[in-house]
This record gives sequence, C-alpha cells and structure tokens, in this order.
Amino acid sequence: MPRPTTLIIPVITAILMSLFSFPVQSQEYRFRNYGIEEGIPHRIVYTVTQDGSGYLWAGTATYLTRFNGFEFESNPTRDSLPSDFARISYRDSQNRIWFGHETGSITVLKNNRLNVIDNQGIITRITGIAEDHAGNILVASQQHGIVVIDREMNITHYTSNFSNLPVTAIGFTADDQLLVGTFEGLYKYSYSAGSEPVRESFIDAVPAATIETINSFGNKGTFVGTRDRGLFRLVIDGENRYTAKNLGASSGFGSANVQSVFLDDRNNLWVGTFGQGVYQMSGIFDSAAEAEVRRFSSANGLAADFVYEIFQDVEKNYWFATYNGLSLLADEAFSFYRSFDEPFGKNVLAACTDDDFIWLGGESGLLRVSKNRGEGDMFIGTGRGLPFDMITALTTTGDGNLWIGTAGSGIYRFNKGEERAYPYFTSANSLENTINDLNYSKGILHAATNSGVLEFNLGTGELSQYGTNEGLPHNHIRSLYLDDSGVNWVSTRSNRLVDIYNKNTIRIAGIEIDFVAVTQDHHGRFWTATNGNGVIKITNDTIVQLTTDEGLHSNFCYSMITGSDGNIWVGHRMGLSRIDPDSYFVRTYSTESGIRGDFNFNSATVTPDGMLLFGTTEGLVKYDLSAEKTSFAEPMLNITSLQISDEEYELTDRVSLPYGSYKFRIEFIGLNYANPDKVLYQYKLLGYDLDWSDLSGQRFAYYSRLDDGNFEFLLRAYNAEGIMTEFPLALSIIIDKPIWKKWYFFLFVFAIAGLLLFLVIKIRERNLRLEKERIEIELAIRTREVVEQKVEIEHKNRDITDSINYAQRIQASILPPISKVEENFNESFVFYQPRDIVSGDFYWFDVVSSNKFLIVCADSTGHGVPGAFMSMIGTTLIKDICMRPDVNSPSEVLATLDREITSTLNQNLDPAGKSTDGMDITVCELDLNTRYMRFASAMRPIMMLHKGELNYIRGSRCSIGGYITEQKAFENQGFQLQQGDIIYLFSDGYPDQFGGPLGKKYKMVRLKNLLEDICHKPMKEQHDLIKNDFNLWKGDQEQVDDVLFMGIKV
Amino acid sequence: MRYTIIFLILISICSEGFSQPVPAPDENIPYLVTFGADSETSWGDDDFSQTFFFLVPESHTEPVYIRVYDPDTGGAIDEINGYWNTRTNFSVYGGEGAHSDPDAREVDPVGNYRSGNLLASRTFGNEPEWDRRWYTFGPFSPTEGEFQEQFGGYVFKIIAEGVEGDDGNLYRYFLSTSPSQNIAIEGANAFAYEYTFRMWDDPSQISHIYPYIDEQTISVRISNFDWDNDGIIRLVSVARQGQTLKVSGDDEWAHDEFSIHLEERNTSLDIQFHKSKDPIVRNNNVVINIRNQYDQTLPFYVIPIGGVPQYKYSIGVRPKN
Repeated sequence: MPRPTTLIIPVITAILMSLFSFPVQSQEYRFRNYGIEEGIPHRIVYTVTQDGSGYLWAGTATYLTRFNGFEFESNPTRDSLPSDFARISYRDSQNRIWFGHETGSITVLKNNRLNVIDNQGIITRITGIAEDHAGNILVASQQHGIVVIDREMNITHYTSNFSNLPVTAIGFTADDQLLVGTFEGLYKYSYSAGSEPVRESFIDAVPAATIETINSFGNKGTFVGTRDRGLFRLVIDGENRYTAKNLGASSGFGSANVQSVFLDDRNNLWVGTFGQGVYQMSGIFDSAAEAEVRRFSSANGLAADFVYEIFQDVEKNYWFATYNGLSLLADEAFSFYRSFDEPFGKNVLAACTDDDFIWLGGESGLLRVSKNRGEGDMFIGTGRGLPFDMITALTTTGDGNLWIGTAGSGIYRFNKGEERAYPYFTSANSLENTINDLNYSKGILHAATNSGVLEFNLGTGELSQYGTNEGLPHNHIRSLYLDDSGVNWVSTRSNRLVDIYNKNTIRIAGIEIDFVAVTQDHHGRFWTATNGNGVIKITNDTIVQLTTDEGLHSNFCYSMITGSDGNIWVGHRMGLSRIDPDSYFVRTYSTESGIRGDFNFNSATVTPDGMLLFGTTEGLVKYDLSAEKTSFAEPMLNITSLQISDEEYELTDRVSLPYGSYKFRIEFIGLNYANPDKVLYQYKLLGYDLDWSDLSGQRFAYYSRLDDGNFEFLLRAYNAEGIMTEFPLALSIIIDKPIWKKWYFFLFVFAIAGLLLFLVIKIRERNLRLEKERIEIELAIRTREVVEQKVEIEHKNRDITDSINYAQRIQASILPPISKVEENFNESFVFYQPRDIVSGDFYWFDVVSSNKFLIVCADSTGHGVPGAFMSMIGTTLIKDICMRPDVNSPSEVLATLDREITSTLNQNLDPAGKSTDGMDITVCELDLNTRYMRFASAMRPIMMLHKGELNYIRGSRCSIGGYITEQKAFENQGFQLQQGDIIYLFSDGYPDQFGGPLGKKYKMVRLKNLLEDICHKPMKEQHDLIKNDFNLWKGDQEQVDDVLFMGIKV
Repeated sequence: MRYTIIFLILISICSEGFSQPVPAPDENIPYLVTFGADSETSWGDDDFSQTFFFLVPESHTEPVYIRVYDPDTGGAIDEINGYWNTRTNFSVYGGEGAHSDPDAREVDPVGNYRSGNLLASRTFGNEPEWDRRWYTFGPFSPTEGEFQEQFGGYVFKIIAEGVEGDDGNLYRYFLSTSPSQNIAIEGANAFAYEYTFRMWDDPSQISHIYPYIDEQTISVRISNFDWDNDGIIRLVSVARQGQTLKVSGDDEWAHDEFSIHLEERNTSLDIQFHKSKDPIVRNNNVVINIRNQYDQTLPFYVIPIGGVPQYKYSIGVRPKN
C-alpha cells in the first residue's frame, strides 16, 4: 500500500494545475510532407508546378525532380539539363513549363521533353518569368536584363534599361503593364512586344524594399510581395497612378517576408512567407463578407515556415515548396488536435458540444475547448470537483449543466456557470459506477453502465434500472441511441437490437453480435456498429452487412455517427470509414489522412454547425464537412516503363516491331496525389484480351508472348472516389507480320505460281507438241500399217466374203426351191433372212413317198459360217434320213438326225472337249391326201391355224446334237387338218429379235398376235407382213440371229 | 534560481565558443567597421567597403543564414561623427562569379566586385530596432553559393558598403543554421582579402588576423592603413617568433615585404596587433591586406587554417662524438 505522502504530491499537483486554464495546442491539418526521407533530392524546394501529363515538378537546391505520387525522379533527363538548379517555374498559355535556373539557364518543358533555351550568355539568377498578352515569354535575369522569347522561339535580349538595377521579379498587370521588382522597390516599364522595355517610373506606393514576387490575377488585382514589408495590392486609378493597400496589417502577417502569392480556384488568396508559414485569406474579394484568415505553419503540420511557392494541382490539392521539402494539403476537411497540454494528455475518451464550447473527456479530467480561438479553454479536474478518473461519457442539458460519466466513479454534474462539478450518482455496485454512455431527453437522463441502464428523472430524482431482469439481453451496455421517435436503443451483445424497455426489438436470426453503437441515416434506417462483424444496416425485414470485403477499414468498430452530410461515419483502430447509406460506397481514412490514433468508444459527436468530432487515443480528429473536397479529377494516366523482351523501350504511343515473339511488361501510373495508393487500374489488350482485367492496384501489365498482329493496350483507372478516367490511355502495338503473311509475299507467290504454271503449261505444251509430233509420226506409221493391214484385211475380207458368198450360193443351192412347196400347196411362203451371208437356219421339204410331204425347218447352233456348216450337215443328213425307208415318222427323223449329228460331230465319243453344236428343228409330215399332219420337233414350236383358231403347239424339250442324254425323246403329234388350215414353222431368230421402240425382244406373244391378225390374209400378203413387221421391229438394230419363217396353207 | 542563472551564463558562453562569428574568438577583434561614403579615410576606412566570404562545406545541405549584429548605424556601438546620418548596405552574393571573379578578390570596391547573384540586400540607416540586435539574411541553400572546388564547398559573399553619411558602422557577422540563433555550421569558415576592423580600446587586448600562405607563395607584402602608430604589429609563424612589421600612421598606408620560409607554406601567419599603452588611442580603426609575389591578395581566415600558428623552436642538437 502506498504511503500517504506519495499520493499527496500528485494529487496536490493535479489540483494546482487544474486551477489554471490550459491553452489547447493548435490544431494540425492534414499535411503530407515530402522530405529527404521520401526521396526528394534536396530539402530546399524553390518551385513546384505540374505538367500536362500530371507529373509534379519541383525545383530543388540540387536538381529538378519529377514526382508521381510515389517516387521522386531526379533529373529525369539529366544529360539535357543545365547543371544549375531550377529556381522558378512558369506555366504559359500553351501549357509549356518554363524553368529559370540559378545561374541563368532557361529550360522549357514541352511534350514531356526539357529543352534548353539559348539564354544569350546570362550567368546570373533567373528571377522572373512572365507572359504578355501576345504570348511572348519574358525571362528576367537578376543582373543581365530581360530575354524575350516570341511564339516562334525567336530570342531577343534587352539589357540597356536594366543596367545597375538587379531585377528580383517581373510581372504584368491585368492591362499588360510590365512591372519590374528590384532590391530597392518596384518600377513600371513601358512595354510593347518587339521593342525594348523602357523604365518609366518608380512606383512609390510600394516600399522601396526588395520585391520578391509580382502576381496578377485578372480583375482580382496585382499583388506585390516584398521582403520584410509585407504584401501589397496594387490599384491603379484613372490617372494611371498607383496606390497600394498593405494586406499584411489586416491579415495577421504584418510586414512578413512574402515570397509568393497564389489565388486558388475558390478565390482564396494564399500568401507564402519566409518565417511565418502560409496565410490563407478567404473572402477578401467579397466586400460583403468578412475576410477570414487561416495560418498554416510548422506548428500545425506544414513542413516549414519558410515557404517559397504555393501551387494548386489539377486535383485542387495545395502544394507548398518550402525550405524543408514539399508539403501537400490534400484535404482541408481533416484537422487534428494532436495533444493537449498536461494533465489532459492526448487521449480523448468522450466529446460533446454546446453553443460555445467543445467538451472533451480525458484520462484525468474534462477539457473545455473554446470555439473562438482559445478564449476560455480550460481543464477541469479534481480541483473543480471531478474525481481523479477517466471521463468516458458526456451530455449536456439545456439547464446549464454538463453531465459527466466516469470510468469508475459514477455520474457527475458540471455546472457551467459555477465552473464546478458535483457528484450526482455513485453506487455500491462498482459495475454501475462505470458509465459507458449518457443521453438525455425530456427530463430523463439515461446512463449505459456495465450493469444495465440507469434512468434518472432529473425532476424528481427517481432512479429506475433496466437490465437482464427487465428483459435486456445483456447488462454490459456499450452505448445508447435515442432515435427520431424517442425510442432509446441499447447496444450490447445480443442477437437483436432492443430498446431500454424491451418494447421494441429487431431480431437478427442466427448470430449473436456484439453491438457497439447505433445510429440512423436520413431515411430513418438503423445502422449498427459491431465489434468484429463490421457495420450492419437493419430494417424490419432485411439486414445488410458491410465488412472489410466491402471496403470497411476494419470489422471492429468503436464509434458511429451520422454526419450532416448523410453519411455514416465509423471509427476504428487507426482508421475511419465513411459509408454512403444509399450506395454503400465506403471511403476510408487512415494514416495517409493524418489519423494516428485509435478511435475511442462513443467519442464521436456532431457540432451544431455540422463539424464531426472524433475522440482518439492521439487527440481529437475534426472533420469539417464544409471544407470537404471530393476529387472529381480522374487519375492522369501515364506509361512509365515499357519493357519488350526484358529490354527497356523508349516511351511512345505507338510501338512498331519486326516480326517475332515478344514479352511485354508495361508499367503505368494513374497520377493522383491525394490518395495515390488508392488508385485502381484496369487494362485490356485489344486483339489479345477479351475483357478488361480485374480492378487492381498493380501498376504493371505483363504479356508473356505476343506474336504478329495489331494490338492496342488500353488502360483506365479509378481514384479513391471511384472516378474513372473518361478516355482510356491507349498504346498501339504493332508487331509486323512474317514475310509469308505479307501481301507482297502473296503477290510474289502468286507471281511465282503463275510463272511456274506458265512454265508448266509451256513445257506441257512443248511436250504435247513433241508428243503430238511423235504421235503423229507414230500415227502415220500406224496408219500406214493400218492402211496396209486394212488393205490386207479388205483383201482377205473380200476373199472371205467372196468365199462366203460362194458358200451362200452353195447353201442356197442345196435349199429346195419354194416352187416345190407351191406344187403341192398353192399358198405358202418362206421368209428366209440369214443374219450373215450364210445362215445356220435351213429348211427342207420334199415329197418322201407318194402322199407324204415332209417339211423341215431347222435352226443350227450359231450363225454365219459355223451355222452354215451345221446347216450343210443338217441338210445333208435330213435329206439322207428322210429318204431312208426305215424312217417313217417325223420323230424317227429327229431321233435319227440326233444320232447322226452326234455321230458326225463325234459327240458320242468322249464328250469332254468336244463340240456341243446341234440344232433345233421341226419336222412336219403332211399327208397330201388326208391332210393329216404329224410333226415332231426338237425345241421348236409350231403355230397352226386350225378351224379358224391359231394354235401354239410345243415340241420336244430336246435339241438335236449337242450332248448325249438318255432322256432324249422326240414325239410325234398328229393333227387332222382341214383345207385352209395353215402351219407356221419358224426359227427363234424371229421372236428373239431385239427392237421396237424400247429395244426389247419381239417375243412369242407378239408373234402369236401378229399371226392372229394376219392368218386369214393371203399367204403372199402374210409373207410380206411378217417380213415387214420383222424389219420394222428390228429397225436400226442389228439382227441377232438368222430368221426362217415358213407358212404352209393346206 | 542561482543555479538557473549560472546555467544560462554557461549556455551563453558555450554558444559563443562553438559559434562562427566574424570576427572570430581567435582573432580577438571587437567589430568590423565600415564608414559612410561621405566620411574621411582618416577615420580608418580606406574605401568604405568591406567584403567577406563565407565558406559552407559541400557536405552541408541544410539552409544557412548570414546574420549581422547591429547592422544599423546608430546607438551605443557605432561611431558617430556629428550626428547619425549614415546608411550602410549589406548585400549577400552567391552563384557563379561571387568569389571566382578576380574583382571580387581585390581589396578595393572597383570593377565587378559585386559579382554573382545578389541573394539578398538590405540598407540600414539609424534604426534603433536593429541596435545591438541580429538581422538575418536567408535562408539560403548552400547551393546558392558559388561552388569552389579548391575550398570543397560553396562560397557566399557579403559586402558591407557605406552608402552615405560619415559615421562608422560597427558590426559582426555570423554564419548560422538558424534564423534566430547563432548555431555554427560544422566545417564552415569565413575569410576576407582585406580586413577593416575596430581595435580594442583596452591596450592589454591583442588582436590577431591569420592570412594563409599557400605553397605558391614565395614572398608577401603586408599593408596596413591608418594604424595611427598605435603600438606594434608582430608577425608570428611556425618559423618566426615575432617579427615586427612597419606600422602606418594616420590616414596612410605602410607596407612591409618579406620572404616566406619554406616551412611557412601551407600554414597561417599570425599578425598580432599590440596597442600602445601610452598614449591610449581610442576608437582606432585599421585596414590590413596581404599580397604575394604576384600581387595577388591572400585570404585572412577567421578560423586559421591549420590552427593558430605556433613558433617551432629549432634547437641545434649535435651527436656527441
């Protein structure tokens, strides 16, 4: 246990200290400073500007450096730059950037290239650059006059009117009057383009001091900054006389050493001084408004109090070139009270506001912070009635009291009038003495404790308690939230959102959530901050959970508040999330925004004028919504490196390569200075990629193999606000086609092919011609041979034909004359038409006995000569057989003939390899007296008109000769004919003939029909009709066989 | 409280001890002096102009300030002639030619002695707000000076020139890293080719200046102006125990020429000014410069190169046979 004396000393010290007022340390702004550690080549920065590609250029005491938001590139084109450093810069109307160097060099940045201008031998510092209305650039050197560079880059050097007058600055007024600043004051020069400026008068309205800067802002006036005499606004009256108003007296910087003046896009005038930092003057051009002056210095975050130049980039960020590096003020909305004088410290545990003060709860007491620049700031501790305890909750009531919740000492009431605190509630239950939150409404004070909710009726002093016994889900109440309808919601570990009285409940099924805070958006929807589950929007039927996946800084939340801008603000450790309740777009702020501490529970509040205040372990964070700047400036895209197959390639917007396979690595950057780390990129290679790549912060694209083709690399980027580049950056990549894909190669190939074809054709033609000649020769030989053979054949044919003709004569001679039939039968005919000259068909008839007339119609196998041979054999044998006395019937004739043929042709011997020739034959015997007819037939039918009917009578199914068979049987068929009956005998040559319109066989049916049609006609006419019909049927067809057709009318 | 006062005194002493004032402690010169252009040279200023150079080592990258103590002409320190009517201009130069221009290294303000970039300029009259107070020029980047490879750093030039009037402006310089305090720059130095300064009134005080003898120097000629025959001028070096130089009278030059010993090369000389104790001459202002055999001026360094020279006794020792 400590000795009493050890406790007395700190307590007495605390009491003594709390009796006095403690000024609050000045607020800090969200400056981002770039010094040697960040890579800037020298800590002294004279000038800063931005080129058309978005790069920031800073002239330092050693090199000109280019900044891309991440790195400083020192002297990017070292070889082309002069060795002396750039001290001033000027952006002209053509977006060229001019740099004036320390020892007289002049360079101009145009199209991303720095060019050195002929400075006419100037070796002293360039002190001013200005542009006249005609676009001529005037470059002033300190001791060597002025160089005028016209639009055509013609350079004229004027010195005579500047001798013995070191120039410190130049500038044009709005009406194009040239002002020249010197170490001894300001001069007016008469100036017209093309002629030497002439010193006209000394402007005594400005003190005869060193003129550091001359800036004209159109109708806003011309401002002259002096060394040790402050800033003057020049006014010219109707008589061309100058008067000057000293702005320093009314703006707080007095006779400061003014190095630069800058007018921003909101008509704020910025004044950079040596020794006093920067002054921002708002409303000085508005006669109706009261000018407001803010000072930025090293005390509130600026890199140094010695400021050479102020610049505003396209994102509207402010840049300050100081003698201790570059400072960036990206957002004026954030400001920070980093720490407060002891004993309050820097840990802000609770915050609330009333009309005059901001009240902050700390680890050892209460701090009253005046809204009027430090007037009335006061620490309230044990000396004014508070316990030596942490202040964890604050709320005000309209009766002049501030209610104070402590970490372990219950509730205190602070009387603002008496400036004294009084204990209001303490409990024997230590859990009830831990006050996590307080709120007040209509005479009722509610306190969130570790043992439920305490409800105090401030009018009656009545105390009510609500805890798990009254239906609350947990006794550890994190915070209270009084909604629009007066319902007081508690935040505690639960699976539901519940009010104090457990009357209103919104259930979240399935999960138990450690609720930290509740708020409502402007639509009345509930938003809850949780410890580990992010932020949950709760409506009656829907919950929406936002976590780090949706961009939240952390899933662990500590405070939550609805800003007057309608956004939900959530405090985390080392970060802050801002949620758009409609789009759920989450914007986060962290160290890059200046936040250095963890946000404390329930330490957020909104001031009556809309300021957001957040208590953190590292002081108070203030967010001024009225100063919020949303960057609509899209990231300015640039390709920073192009490596093709691991070799650096000169940057251009069009890459043309010969045919090959290449690796491409394209590095790029979307220039954004407010939040360079939060720029996201998408790219697509037209001709290769089908779609845009996923959003990523990666600043390069890699393609492992690109072959021939036309490609276009497209790049787009989004800034932290989600603003996308309107037009993608394009890089055209053309890899040449291989020679075999070129049009001229096709042409060449076609030409070669054509030539080859031509040659082939020509060769073929030649070969054909030779072949033709050879063939013609051969043909001639062959023709001659053929002709000779033809002659020979013709000769032989003629011999054969003659022979056959002669044979035909022989054959014809052995055929009986038709007259022999006509002797016995008046009407008869024989249609005999051999296929060739000689015929295989033959006929024979004769009277073999007194009254027997034998008629034979035969068809030998084959035709022509072979048939003729057979017919000769047949005729001979028939004649012989018919005359034999032992042959008495036609069947015997046939049987005998068969034997004779077989014998004659030796077919009865070994049949193998022997002739199978024979004949079909019909033998018909007519009794001349009785008209009885017998006939036998081998394979041939006869047609017989008997009693007016035409009958078809089949013969035997055996041929004569051909082959030996036991089954050969030739039968006689007898018919008693009457007068007028007709017998038709015929060979198969007639019905087998092909012809007719369809080239078919004549056939037996057609023959029967023919005979039925003509059988009643006279035999002579029948002969003609049969002959004509046959020839008509045959037409142009070749006759297939010999034809023999005989008709005998009895 | 007693300890606090002692502590503050110690701090004050230490800051002077480690500082780079011009004149420097080793020189024991109370003030530099420049008279108004309308003054008579018999007051001790031969040309009403004084040029000093500050050398900032190349390794130093932080901004530097050149501070002037009591830059105005008026008040207790300065020397009045009738009434205060003097205006003195202080101009700081850097950049190309600031030192390398031959005229800048000459002893008289003629030609292009104001060579280089004029970095800052301020003319002071009788301005009580600057009486016994420091006025600060700067900040300057070291690179705004002229880089002189032979010195290994950047050189700034400050010219004090009496613009008008006939009073004497007594002042001091300090090359500092702070605009509001005298904080020395490590490795820095200051030098001049002609020294115009105020002598102590106290005859027991001995002032020193330290010209540097480079290895090209064979002989030197030391000139002093308006010494008023006030005591003696001694020369001490590593090879001279105390050579007496010629002393000038009122409004006149005295020249003394002698050879340089081999061992004196690449060292500093110590020119000591011993005032006469009887009669005591008050408010004595003198001018001194030194040239080599080529009539080139040699610099006086406020911090002597190689340290304050000490005579090295040569004791003849012969081995005993």
